[in-house]
Amino acid sequence: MKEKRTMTLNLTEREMVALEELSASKDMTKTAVIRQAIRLYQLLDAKLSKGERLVWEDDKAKTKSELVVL
Amino acid sequence: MTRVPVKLEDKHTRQGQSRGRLVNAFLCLDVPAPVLAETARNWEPLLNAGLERRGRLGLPALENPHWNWSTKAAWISLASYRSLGIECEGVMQGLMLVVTDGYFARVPPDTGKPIVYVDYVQSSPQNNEDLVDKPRFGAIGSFLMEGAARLSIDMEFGGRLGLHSLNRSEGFYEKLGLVRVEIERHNRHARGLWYYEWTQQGANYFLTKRRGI
Repeated sequence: MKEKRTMTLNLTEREMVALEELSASKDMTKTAVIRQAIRLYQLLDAKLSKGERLVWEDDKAKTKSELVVL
Repeated sequence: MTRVPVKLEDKHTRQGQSRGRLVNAFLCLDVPAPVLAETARNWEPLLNAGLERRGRLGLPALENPHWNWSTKAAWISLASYRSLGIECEGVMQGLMLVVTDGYFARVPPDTGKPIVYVDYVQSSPQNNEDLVDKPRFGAIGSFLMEGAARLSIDMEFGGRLGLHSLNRSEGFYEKLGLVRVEIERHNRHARGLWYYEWTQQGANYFLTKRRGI
């Protein structure tokens, strides 16, 4: 839909393993996973910059933790 | 802004039981922020007149009649937000804002896989039967849903999408084949609303049927 530009990406072995695992579990190509990761990073950064908080809640364990960016 | 040609039925040209004239329109992808803001300004007088009319007739108040598109326009500078619109006669007849990241399927077998989330959708007041006696153009909502499903495919989400439905729209989404999943408990912006999801199969069945039209 949108015009795309091409780049070369060098990853470490561990990063590549992580990418391959995500690609398999999410049923997406590695390119699509990377594209989504970039968009999510930008979204997260924008929300945190505005003073919003990112909290993980575990209903079963009744725990709550917050991502703190220093 | 990418524009895909579509046809809308002009309901004002209906005669008896026959369908109205089909008119050229466009499904617009990535509607720019100034167009969103301008559209909101153009809709305001009609919306207010429609709400006033409802009050006069003693009809119940609408849920969320005033969605502030000008505020929403600020979000589309982020790559995760995409805006869709249906343009006809040079103006937007409906708008949709979707989020492409941070939402995941709740329905098996694709639980945990990414989805497109429909954040807001609204037809122009002139096409809304809740606001005017004789709505002008039909099928705005289903074309916007088609656009969102195509975006989901483009993102490699297979057409999957999710949304929280206002009470008055539940029947519409069920007719399109979305699965009624659960009443929202976690998302505080949508608490108490039914969460619906279009599975990969459901969205593709809908798109295949549309191609046959």
